[in-house]
Amino acid sequence: MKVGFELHVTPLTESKMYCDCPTKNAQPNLQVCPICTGQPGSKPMAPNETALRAGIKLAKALNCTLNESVSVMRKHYFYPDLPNNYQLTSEPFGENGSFNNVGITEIHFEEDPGQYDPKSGLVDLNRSGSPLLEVVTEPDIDSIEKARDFLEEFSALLGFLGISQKIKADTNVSINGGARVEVKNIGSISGALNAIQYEVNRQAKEGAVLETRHYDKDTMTTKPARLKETVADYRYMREPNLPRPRASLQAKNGSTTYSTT
Amino acid sequence: MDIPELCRIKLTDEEQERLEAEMKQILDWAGEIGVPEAKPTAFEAIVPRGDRARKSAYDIRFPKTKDGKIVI
Amino acid sequence: MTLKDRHGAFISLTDTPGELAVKDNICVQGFMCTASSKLLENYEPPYTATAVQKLQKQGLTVMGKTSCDEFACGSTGTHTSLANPRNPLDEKRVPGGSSSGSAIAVKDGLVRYAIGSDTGGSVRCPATFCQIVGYRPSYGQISRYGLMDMCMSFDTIGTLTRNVDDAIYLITGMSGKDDKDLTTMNSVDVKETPGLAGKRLVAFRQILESCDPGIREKFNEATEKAKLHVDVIDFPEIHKSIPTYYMIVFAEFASAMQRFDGKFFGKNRELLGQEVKRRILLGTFISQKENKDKWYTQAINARKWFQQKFEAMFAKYDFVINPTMPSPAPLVGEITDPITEYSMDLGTIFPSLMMGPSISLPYQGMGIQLTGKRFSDSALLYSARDLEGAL
Repeated sequence: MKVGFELHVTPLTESKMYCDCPTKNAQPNLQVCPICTGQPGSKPMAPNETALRAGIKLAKALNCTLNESVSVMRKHYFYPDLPNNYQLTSEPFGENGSFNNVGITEIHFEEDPGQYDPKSGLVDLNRSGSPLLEVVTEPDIDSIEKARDFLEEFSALLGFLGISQKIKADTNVSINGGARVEVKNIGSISGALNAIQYEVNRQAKEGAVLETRHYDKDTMTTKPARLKETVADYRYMREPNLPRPRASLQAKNGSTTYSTT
Repeated sequence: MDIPELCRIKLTDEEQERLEAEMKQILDWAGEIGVPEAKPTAFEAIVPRGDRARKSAYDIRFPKTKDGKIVI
Repeated sequence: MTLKDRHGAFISLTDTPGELAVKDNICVQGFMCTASSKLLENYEPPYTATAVQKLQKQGLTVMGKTSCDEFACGSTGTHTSLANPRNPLDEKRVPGGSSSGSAIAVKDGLVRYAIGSDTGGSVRCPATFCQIVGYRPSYGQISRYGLMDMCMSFDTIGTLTRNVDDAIYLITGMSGKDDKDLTTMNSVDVKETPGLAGKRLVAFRQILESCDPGIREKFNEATEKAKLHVDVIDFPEIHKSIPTYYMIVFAEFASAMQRFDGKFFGKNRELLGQEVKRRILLGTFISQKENKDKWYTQAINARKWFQQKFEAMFAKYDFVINPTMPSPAPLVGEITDPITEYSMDLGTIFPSLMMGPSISLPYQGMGIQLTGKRFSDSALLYSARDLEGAL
């Protein structure tokens, strides 16, 4: 088997990535503003400093090479939890690292969409715009034990760095050189391990096609995603409302500057 | 992928035919913009926003609501 | 108070008297904000644009929202099913766009101050056709927070007024940094500065040659009357400014319009008009991986190239001068194909590419446009006031 992770880490911040809304839990749709609800005319504010610092700390701890110049891009797709129907996501600011014998492809920052429940058709935008750090690993994991080991060490690292206590692990699984299946909606280490085990067995029986599936923690199985979440072409475009094309993170005497032109 | 599908606009057959013809005309007219290659540009720095939360003062009335959640 | 809005200036009006009319793509709490589109017919913004808030703090009251081309797409003012705008000077002709309603409201004396948006001429064109003053500030001079995006890299909030003094008042009041629009970080203070005397003026031969003979005559008359010395130089690539501009517009507009799918506000996308639909389709098409390099990447490079050319040119000159529009206001319904309409923008697009301020002054049925380098707004405004006096 070949397993790789796209780990979404929610750094501990007071406010959201591109607006001042609080990130603390509240009644639905109260921690919102024109920016994180995609009202026409709204523009992103400067990115959250705590989130950027956390990202740099993490990139260094994962032995990544840091990139001076990083752009914030619009990633376009339609989905009920995405107010602008594009997500702001940065180019990688850390690349080619390694941790616990697993290659780290890249790390970038992005914003969380809201919460959409397909069963009820209800959306809560409190989470929309919250900062996320995404760590992408190489598909170097070839056993459940290695997967457990990696995730437990990664979780411990986050605790040690004081960055976050929340991870979501999108897990990519393939067997015998077959198609890669992406499994989303995994919120715990045990969930990830169960999902991997289920997928390995399912792919051996049913075969595998390139697709996105959702993990159901109640049944510990994966099911095909109801709505198309991944598209072939996101039409990435640099966010023109954040001054100009490039952005760079420079740690200067402990302070972070976010450069754009 | 079908362009109208990609940008979620449903077109009648007649609309699609007419718009495709107009699009082709416009893209042909734009053609090779053909100016020389520009010199690379420099960067300037701005400071990231701190991290202070402000209580939401907005009354964003979602047209479809139920128990505070929005119905899609 | 009942206003006789005979020429389709307003989408919505209040009963309270007020001094300021605002284009209906700029959010003002208490008013609908429709962008002259059926899709946003029932949209009530929960906030007010920063630029308008600043004017309200100075004591101005918004009395209405003005009609425009739908989502600011057009140069005639007639690309909308929510209004029927007509030129107050000749009701058979278009008022110009896209800030048509704001121009009509000022020309008809319904309001003293009006603001609109200018992306590639959307304030200067209707100002010319309605024979009033239209000002486009430097990009980043005035916050766009609350202005519905048409093309994020070129949009500005501009003014429509009867004279330059009123434009100066509005621009001074709206200027300034806003942390809700990060492109304003270098906004400058607008202050009185020495005017037109001694300023070095340049005109592009290719723009002059693209104008109707009648327009060129008036232009020459105006420069003579004001005793202006203008160097006419060749700039053949200026024709490429139009496709450069429009390719970037299409791509950014398609992105800006992604959010309008009726899930949290507004109605469904099928209600969009033809010009808007066409721009979204084009923008989506040229942004695709396999098509990007053919038009979009080239346009991005071309814009940079134009900016570098203009930077070199502004070392030798203070202002570019030209007729704002190449021909008189077309008849309603006269323009039936998009390329003809886009080509009308030859005089107004280059200031957008180089992010400079640009003003159009009315003169005997046509417009005289002055453009300065980025953030020369003070010099441009006060020089324009001198020129206005001389015309």
